Amino acid sequence: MISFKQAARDHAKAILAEFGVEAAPVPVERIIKRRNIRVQFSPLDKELSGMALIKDGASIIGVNALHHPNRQRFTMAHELGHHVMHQTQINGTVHVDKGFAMILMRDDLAAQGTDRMEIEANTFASELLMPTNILEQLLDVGSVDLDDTSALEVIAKRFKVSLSALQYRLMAFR
Amino acid sequence: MGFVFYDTETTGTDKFFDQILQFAAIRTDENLNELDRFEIRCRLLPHMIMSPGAMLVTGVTIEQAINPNLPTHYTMIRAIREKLLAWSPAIFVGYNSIAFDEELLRQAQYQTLHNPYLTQRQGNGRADAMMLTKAIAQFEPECFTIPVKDNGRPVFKLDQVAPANGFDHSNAHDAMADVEAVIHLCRLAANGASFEWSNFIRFSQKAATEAFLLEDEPLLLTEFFGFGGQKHYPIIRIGADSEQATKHLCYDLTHDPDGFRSLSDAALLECFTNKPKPLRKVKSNAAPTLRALDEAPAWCLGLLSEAEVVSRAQEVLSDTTFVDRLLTIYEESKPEYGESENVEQQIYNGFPTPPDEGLMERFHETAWPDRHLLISQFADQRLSFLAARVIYAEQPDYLPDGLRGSIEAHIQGRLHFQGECKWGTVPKALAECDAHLLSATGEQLEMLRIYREHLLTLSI
Repeated sequence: MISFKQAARDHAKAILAEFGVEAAPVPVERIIKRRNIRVQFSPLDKELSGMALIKDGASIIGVNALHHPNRQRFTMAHELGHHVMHQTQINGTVHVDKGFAMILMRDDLAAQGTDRMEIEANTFASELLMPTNILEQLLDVGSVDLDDTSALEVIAKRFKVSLSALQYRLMAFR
Repeated sequence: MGFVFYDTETTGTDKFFDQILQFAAIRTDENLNELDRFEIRCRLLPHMIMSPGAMLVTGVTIEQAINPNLPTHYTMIRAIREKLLAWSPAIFVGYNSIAFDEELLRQAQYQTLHNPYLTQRQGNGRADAMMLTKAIAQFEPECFTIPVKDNGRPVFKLDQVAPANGFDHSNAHDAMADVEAVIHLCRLAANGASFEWSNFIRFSQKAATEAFLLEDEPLLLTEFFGFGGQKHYPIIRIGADSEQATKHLCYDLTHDPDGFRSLSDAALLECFTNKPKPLRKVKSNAAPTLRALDEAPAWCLGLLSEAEVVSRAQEVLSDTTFVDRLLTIYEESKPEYGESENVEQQIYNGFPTPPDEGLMERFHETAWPDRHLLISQFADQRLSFLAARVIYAEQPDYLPDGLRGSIEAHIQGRLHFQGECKWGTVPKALAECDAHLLSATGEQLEMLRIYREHLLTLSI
C-alpha cells in the first residue's frame, strides 16, 4: 500500500505528465488556469498564504498579494493540491455567502504536521514545483549539502521557489 | 493588511510645486470593510500660493488655508506618516493617484526630511483606481456605467463616474468624500469584475509585476491616455533601463522584427523618438495594466493571432544580437535633462547617504531651538536647504539671522517671480483671479474677491 505522501506526489506527477512539463520553472499558474480554476489575488493577513474554495460552482484559489512571488507560487501549488485531492472536503465546508471564508491555512497546521490534508497539499506542491526527475538532472539529490546556500540559491532561482522550500524538498530524499 | 484608500486636496495641480492642504484615508480589510479612518488639514506654507482654480474646485478659502488653528504642514505630514506606517503593510489606492497624489505625498515627505517612498516600503503596494476603472471599461464593460461626453468619448473623472454608478457624490472634491467614492467603485469592481480586480491587486506589488514580466513569455500591456483613449500592446520583456531597474524595456510584438533589423543604427535611433517605436516601457512600481496573453481578447492583438505573437516573441528573444542592439540604441536615445535648480525637482537626484538618513531622524527628534545646528551637518545640500525651510515655516525665530534672511529671500523670490515658472506666484494668481471673476457668481465670487485682497497684501 502506498503512503498518503506518495499518493500526493503521484497526483502531482500525473499533472506534470498531463501538461508535458520537462523543465523548470513549472508553469503552475498556467496549469491552474487550464484546469478552470481561477486565481484571485487579495491583500490577506500576513500569516495567511492562501485559500482554496468552490463558490457558486467555480473553483477558486486565493493568493496573498502581499507575499513574495515565489511564496505565491508555492501557495498556488498547495491550493491546487487541495482542489485535486480534497474536492469533497472543500465542497462540504464552503460557505458561499462568505466568499473566502472557507480557509485552509497552509502554514500553521502543516508546519506542525498535524493535519493530513495540509501535509498532502504541501507534498503535492513540492513535487509539482520541484519535480523529482528535473531535480535529479540538476543535482545529486541524495547527497547535496543543504548548508551550501549559495549553490542552492541558484537552483531555487531556477525553480522559482524559496531557498527554504528547496531545502525542505531535498530533505525528503534523505 | 488589506487596503488604504486615500486622497489629497491641494493648492494646485503641479506635482512638484503644490502642497497638500487636506489628506483623508480609510483603511479596509481585504473585503473592503472599513476598519479605520483618518483625516487632517493643514495651513498654507509660507512659500505657497494657492491656485484660484484649485480653490474653486476644492472650496478651500484663503481664510481656511491660513487659519492659525489648523496644524502646520510639518505637523500634518508627521501625523500622516505615523498613521500610514501603523496601517502598513497594505495596498495604497487612490484615484489618478499614481500620476498625482502619490507624487504629492512623496514631495511632502521629501520636503519635510522623510523618506519619500512611504507607500512602497514596509511591504506595501500601490495601485490607481482610475486605471482599474479604465481597464474594466475595456475588458469587463458590463460592470460600470461610464459617462460619455458630447463627442462620444468616455469620461473617467471621479466626480462623474461615481454618481453614474450609484454613489451620492454631492460632496465631491472633499478628500474624504472622494475616498468613499473610490471604495464604492472598488466594491463594484470586486463583485462585478473579479478578474480585473484581482489583476489590479496583483500588480500593485513591484515584485509580483517583475516576476510576471520576467516569465519570458509574451503578455498584453494596456496603456491609457488622458483623453480617455487606450492602446493594447502584446509585448515581451527584453531588458531594463540601465539607470532605473524598475523601468522594464519590452519589445512591441505588433511590429515585425525584420522591419527594425534592416535599419541602420541611425534609422533605428530615429524610431525611438518617432514611430514605429520598437519598445514599450513598463514601470514595475507603477501598477501597470498587464495580463497573460491567453487572457487577452483576440481584438487586442490586432491582425495577429496568439500563436503569431508567441512565435514572434520567441524569435525576438532568441536573437540576442538584435536585443542587444535595441537596448544599446535605447540608451543612446534617452534625453539628457539638465539638473533643476529647484529643490523640489531634485527629488529623484539620488538617495540620502546613511549618515544623512541618520541626521534626518535626529532632525525630527531634536527640539526646535536646536534643530538649526543640524543644517550644516547634512552632506546633501538639498537636505540642508529643506531643513532650513522647514524650521523657517515652523519656528522662524530659531533660525540664525543670516539663514533666516536667505530663506526669506528665497520665499519672496518665489512669490513674486515674474517669468515663466511651474510654481504659484502672486502675479499668476492675481491674473487667474481676474479671469475667474469675469464669470464667477455667489460664494465663488466672494471667495475670489477675498483671495484677491489677500494676494494684494502680499505684493511688494
